[in-house]
Amino acid sequence: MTGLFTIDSLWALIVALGMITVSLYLVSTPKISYEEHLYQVSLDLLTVAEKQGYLKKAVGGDPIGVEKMQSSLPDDMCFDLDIFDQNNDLIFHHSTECEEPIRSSLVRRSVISNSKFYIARLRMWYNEQ
Amino acid sequence: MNNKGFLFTILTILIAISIIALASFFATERVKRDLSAEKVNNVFDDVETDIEDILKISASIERSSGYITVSFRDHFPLDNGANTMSEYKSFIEGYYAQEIGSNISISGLSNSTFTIKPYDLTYEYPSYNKEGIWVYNKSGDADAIKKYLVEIDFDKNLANVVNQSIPGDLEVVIDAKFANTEYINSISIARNDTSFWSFNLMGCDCNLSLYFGSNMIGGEIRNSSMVANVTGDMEGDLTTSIVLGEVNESVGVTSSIYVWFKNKLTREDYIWLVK
Repeated sequence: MTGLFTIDSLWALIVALGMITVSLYLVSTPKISYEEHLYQVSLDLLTVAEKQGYLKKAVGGDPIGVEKMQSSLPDDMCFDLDIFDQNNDLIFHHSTECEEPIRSSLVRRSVISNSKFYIARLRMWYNEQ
Repeated sequence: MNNKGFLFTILTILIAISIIALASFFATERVKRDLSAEKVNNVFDDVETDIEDILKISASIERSSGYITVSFRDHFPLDNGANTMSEYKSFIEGYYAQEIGSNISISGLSNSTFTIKPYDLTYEYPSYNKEGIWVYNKSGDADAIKKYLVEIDFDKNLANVVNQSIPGDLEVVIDAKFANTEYINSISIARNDTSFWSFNLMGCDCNLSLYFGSNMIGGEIRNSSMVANVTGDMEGDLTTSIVLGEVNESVGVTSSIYVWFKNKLTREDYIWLVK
């Protein structure tokens, strides 16, 4: 091994290529954390629930839509859904039977029913038991 | 010589670690930025859904063989609609904004209009109580409109229809369903003269009137326009499909309602029914 192609230069080339590969991989593959994934799933779930009219039904005391929400989820996903009126009084609560979470995601949407305005808060987590 | 090599190796490793750390940082930051954008999009989507819900309106756009059809599915009149919209503005700017930890401002509620872009055609109510519906061009004639298809569904019995139509090239199709009968008419009328259909209903002092062609709207004569009015104690569904010539630009329906949002990101935009 003489000139440019020495053992040292080959090692340097291998290490450099490895670092470039790792850097490109990191930049091109955004990391989605546990919380971020949960946030996206909970946002989707609450949006669909509103557009399907489930939240409006819940305001009227009918939990059928919310039960459909629950059945559409994988077994290891849990949530609490609370709906508050404009006085911040809780008027609807639904909870899946899961252990209290260590980490969870919280999203909100407004709900309109009979010209009255409400806030729906959805807290979601993975059942890690 | 060995010391120089050692220093060079250390520096190279430090630079390499820095590059990987930077790559990792940008990978994480991009997700954070995407989530902030998602939060903002959710607020705009939430407001749009609420406005469609309060006003009982939705819109859609279809493209077919050289034509674009913009349809508004509406319900009118709307009892207490103006007050509800005003209360909604207070709710979003107050309780809702506080709940999501952001600043939100809603404006443009004084103009109860929707605009079909890029045609600049207006679908408008006199107020959010929706005493009537107007379709016209604010800056001239609505000659881009080839055809109106109007579907009516009122849960009242029809007594009689009074109709006057002036022949022309503006196509009008009316399909009116009432509790006791269905009225269908397809005709071509004049753009610069007024043709009308007046539906008198039984059991109440109620009337639904449709005017096509030349109408006085906002103090100006607007040709190729449409006006729908209801009098008396009744309400029902009215779907107005407007057939237009095709354009290359993207077609959308925007409202006059403007939302300004500020959190980590700032965004301001009109509320679109269809984008």
